[in-house]
Amino acid sequence: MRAMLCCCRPLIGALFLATISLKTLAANASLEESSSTFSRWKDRLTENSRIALDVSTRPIYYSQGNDWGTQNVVGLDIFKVLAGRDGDFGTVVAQAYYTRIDNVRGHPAFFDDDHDGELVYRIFNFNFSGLPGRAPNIRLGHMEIAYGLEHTLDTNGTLRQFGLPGNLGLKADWGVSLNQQHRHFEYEVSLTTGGGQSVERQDGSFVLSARVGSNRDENFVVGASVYRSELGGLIRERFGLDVQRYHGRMGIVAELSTGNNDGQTVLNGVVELSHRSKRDSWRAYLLSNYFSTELDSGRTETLTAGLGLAYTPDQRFSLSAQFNRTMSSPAGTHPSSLSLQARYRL
Amino acid sequence: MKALKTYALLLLATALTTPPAEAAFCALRDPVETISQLFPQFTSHRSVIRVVGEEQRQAISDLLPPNTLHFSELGQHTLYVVFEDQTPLGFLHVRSEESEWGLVEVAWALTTDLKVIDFHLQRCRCSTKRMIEAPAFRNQLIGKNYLEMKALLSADGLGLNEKNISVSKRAKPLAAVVLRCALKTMLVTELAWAEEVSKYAALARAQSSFDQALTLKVVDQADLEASFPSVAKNFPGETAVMALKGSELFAVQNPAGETIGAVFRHPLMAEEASHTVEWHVDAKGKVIAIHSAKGWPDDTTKNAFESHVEQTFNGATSCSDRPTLLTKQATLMAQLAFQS
Repeated sequence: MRAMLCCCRPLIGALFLATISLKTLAANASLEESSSTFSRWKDRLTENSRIALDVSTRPIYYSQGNDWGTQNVVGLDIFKVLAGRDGDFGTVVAQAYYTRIDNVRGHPAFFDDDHDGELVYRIFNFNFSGLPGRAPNIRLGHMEIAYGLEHTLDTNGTLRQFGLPGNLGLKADWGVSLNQQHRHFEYEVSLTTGGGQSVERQDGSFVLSARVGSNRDENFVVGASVYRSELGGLIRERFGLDVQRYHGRMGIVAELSTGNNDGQTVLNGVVELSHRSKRDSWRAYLLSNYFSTELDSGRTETLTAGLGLAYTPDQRFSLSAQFNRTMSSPAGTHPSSLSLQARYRL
Repeated sequence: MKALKTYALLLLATALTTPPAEAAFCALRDPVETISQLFPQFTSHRSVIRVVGEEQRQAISDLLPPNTLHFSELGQHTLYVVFEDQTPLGFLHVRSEESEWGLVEVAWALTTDLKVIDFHLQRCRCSTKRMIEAPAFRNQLIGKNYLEMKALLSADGLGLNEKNISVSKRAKPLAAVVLRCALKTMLVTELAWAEEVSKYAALARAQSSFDQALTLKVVDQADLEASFPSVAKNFPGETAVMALKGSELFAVQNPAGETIGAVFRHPLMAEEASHTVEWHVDAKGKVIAIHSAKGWPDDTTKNAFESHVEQTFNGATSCSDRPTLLTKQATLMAQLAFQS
C-alpha cells in the first residue's frame, strides 16, 4: 500500500504541474517569451485532449426547518490521450473542482462543516492500456469504487445518485485497479487507501472492491460486486447484484446489496425507472433508495423516494431538478428536499 | 486562499482558450474492444481529437438535407486510426443518431478512403437491432463509399431507397437511422479530420503501390510553387492544366529513408463534385497507379485515367486529351519529391 501511495504522489504532482505551469509561465516570463512558451505548453496540454471548464450552482430547499442550502462548484475536467510511437498507451482523466457549500445537510465528510470550501477531486487518474496483448489496463489515481450501478452509469456532478456513499462509506478513492472491457463482459478490481479525498490511509483504512458485469452497452446488463473496507474503524463487507434493462426510451435499473457493518447485517437497495426524449435532451426518473441495518435493538430502515428531471438543450448547458422525500426513517420523520442545478461546461 | 485564486485564474485562462464540451469525460469509453471487433487484425490505434462545430453542421445541412447534426454530435470527438504494425487499416468513428428509441450509437469502421468496412450498434434500444446487425443487411453496406451509400437513401433524405436496399418491413426505421448515421459519419470524418484522412489514405495506397513504402514525407508547398513555372513550360502556351491550389506532393520513403516514389494529389471537378485524384509515380516518371479518393464519377473517366498506368511521362510526351495532360503534369510535379 505504501508503494502504491508513493506511485500516486508523483502522478498527482505531474498532472498539477502541467496545469499550474500555464499560470506560472505566464506570470514569470517576458511578454513575448511567455506568449510563445504559454502557447507551446498549451499545445502540449491540449493536443489530443478534451478540456472543459465546468461550473454549476445548486440551491437546495429543506422542508425540515424551511431552510435553503447552496453548493457552488467550479472546476476543470481534463481528458488526455497519451500516445507513443506505437500508438495510444493510456488516458488521463483529471477533474479537480473547487466546491463551496453553505448550509448543505448530509455533506461529504471531507467538508469541515456546513459552511466550507474545498478543492475536491472527482475522477483523477491515469489508465494505462499499454500492456501487450489483451492484458488488463492498470488505473492509478482517484477513481470511483468498482461497485454496482455507479460503476457503469455516469452520475458525476449530477443530482441523480445511486447512494454509494450511504452504502459503502465513500464513492471514490485513491488507489490502483485492474480493469478491462471485453465483448461480452467487463471487470474492475481495485485496492484503494480509504482516504476518500486524501491519498493517505486514515488509521489503517483500506477499500477492496471488484465488479464483473456484462457489456454495459447492451439492453440488458447484469453485474455482481464484492466489497470489503475499513473506514473510520468500521469494517464493511458487501455483496451486490445490479441489473439494467432498457426498452426503447424507458429504462429500469436496480441494485441490491447485502453484507454487514462490523457484523451487523445490512440490506441496501436502489431502483430507478427513467424515460428520455429522442435526443436525450430530456430525462425524467423516479428513484428510490432503501437502507437497513439489523441492530441488537431491532432493524433500522430508511426508505427514500425521489423524482428527477434533467434538461440538456445543448452540449454546454444543463438544468436539473430533483425532489426527494424520506418515506420512512428510524426517527419517524419524513423530511423532503428540492434540489435545483444549473450546470455550464465550456 | 492564494492557492484558490491561482486555481481560479487557471480556470479562467483555460476557459478562454478551449472549445465547448459535453458530458463529463470520465464517461468516455475504452475503444479497444470495439476496435478489436471491427478490425480483428489490429495491433495498435491512435486517437485524434477534433472539434466538430458549426462549420461541419452547416456542411451536413447543405450536402445531406434535411439532415443536420444535433447538439450531442457537436463538440470534441475522437477518431481512432487503427494500425496493423505500421500499416493503417482504417478509422473507427463512433457517432450517435437521433431515433424513436433515443440516441443510437454506431461504431463505424471505415477504410482510409472512407468506405464502410463494417459497423457495430454500440448502443441501440430498438428491438430490431439484431436484424440490422445480421449479415443480410450488413453486407449491403460493406465496401460502399459515400456516393454508393447515398444511393441507398430515399429522395427525401430520410428513408430508404428500396430499389437499392432490401430490409424487412419491421427493421426499416432502424435501417434508415443507421444509413443516415453512416452518411453523416463519412462526411464529418472527411470534414473535421481532413488532414488525417488525406494523410492515412495516401499512406495506405502508397503502401499498396510501393512494396517497401512505410512513410510519406510532405514536400514543402513553397518548393512546389518554385518548381511550378518550369513544369508549365512543358505545356502548350506554357500554361499548366492544373492550378497549384489544392495540390499536395509526398515523397514515399522506405525504412532506410530513401525516396522510392512520389504521390501527387490534386482535386478535380467532375459533375459539380470535387474528386481528389492521386498519381503514384516512380523516379523515372512511370505511373505506378492512379486513384480517385472518393471513387471515380463514371467508368469512362476511370478508364481514361487508368489507361496511363505503367506509362512513362516526360516533358516531351505529347498529349491528346485532358486526362493525359493531367497525368503528364502530375508526373512532372512528382519528380520534385526525388530532388528534395
